Amino acid sequence: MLQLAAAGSASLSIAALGAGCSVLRPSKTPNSTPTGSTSPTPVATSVTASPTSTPTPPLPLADAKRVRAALARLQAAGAQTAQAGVVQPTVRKPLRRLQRDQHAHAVAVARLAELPAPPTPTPTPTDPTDGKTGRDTKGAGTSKAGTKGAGKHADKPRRPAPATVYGALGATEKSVADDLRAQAIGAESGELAALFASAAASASCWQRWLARRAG
Amino acid sequence: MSPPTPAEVAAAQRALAAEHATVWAYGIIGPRAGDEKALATTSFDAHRNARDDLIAWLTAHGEQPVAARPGYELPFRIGDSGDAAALARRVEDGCCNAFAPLVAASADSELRKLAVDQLIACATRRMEWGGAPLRFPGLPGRGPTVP
Repeated sequence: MLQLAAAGSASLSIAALGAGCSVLRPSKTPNSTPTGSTSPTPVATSVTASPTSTPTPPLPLADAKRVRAALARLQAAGAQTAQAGVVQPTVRKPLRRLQRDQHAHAVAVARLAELPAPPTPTPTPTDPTDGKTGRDTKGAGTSKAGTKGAGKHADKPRRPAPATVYGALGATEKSVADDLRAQAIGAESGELAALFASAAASASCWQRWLARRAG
Repeated sequence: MSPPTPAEVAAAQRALAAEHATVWAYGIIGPRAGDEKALATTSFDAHRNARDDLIAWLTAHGEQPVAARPGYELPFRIGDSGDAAALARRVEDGCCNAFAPLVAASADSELRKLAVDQLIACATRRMEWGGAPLRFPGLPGRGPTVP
């Protein structure tokens, strides 16, 4: 069975998933009316699967294109999240996990395609008052007109409200989820499809999480 | 229509078994859901539809769908709405774990689409029941990502 290499963890086997897929164990003593099919076929909801593994075969050519598209999308979303923390520092900490998840998705997709792991997105300072842009503000606002300091703040970019930032990131996550869903449906490799679908589900959850904060 | 592979059928049957258990569980969750009664109702309807879609796919491919069990063991006592929400998160998580292998096993495009959409839907419903976003829903080695 193919292996999934997930970010920050050992190789994971899709086959081993079966062992944990039991939702609820069947009751020994029937205590409820069946709500489903009346088919007499018995079913074991607890499944054991072989943990043995074989080397991952190369992805089909068509999937390589999907991987590149997904990587670009995930990395762009990660960069946007990182940037959001610079533009509005109050969202930096709450969104750290989102950024980690986005990076983990990109790394997992890259590893499955045997590509080098993408680097963690680094934010670009844009606020001149942070003093990290290299922009020279020396002497600004020191005119004789008594407006000392005014010039320093006059060109300070207005920070968007946190809700606005959450809303923008939520829209991006929705778009990422839609893209990954489409890639999952079209992927030739089942392993890649499962990874895309899981990442799409995660992005969809984050979209809801962000939407709640955006109000 | 090409015949399904044994892996597809096995994964679809496992997903169906998970849906049977989940539909049963929502029968327990619903009356105890408190303010989340509407969510319990929409979740129940969604799982019933997923169960019926899986039955229809298996039947259309000449397979005998697995039957629901008469009853299932609850993992803990369901006393209040908090317990009901915890059970809902648990069964949604279990469905994610059943649909991810179905995504991987499905060669049939109709089945693949069903599995992908159910994986996404179960993960988001799990969140609606109070869960934190997961990094890899349905895949092992994942952990809750509490921001």
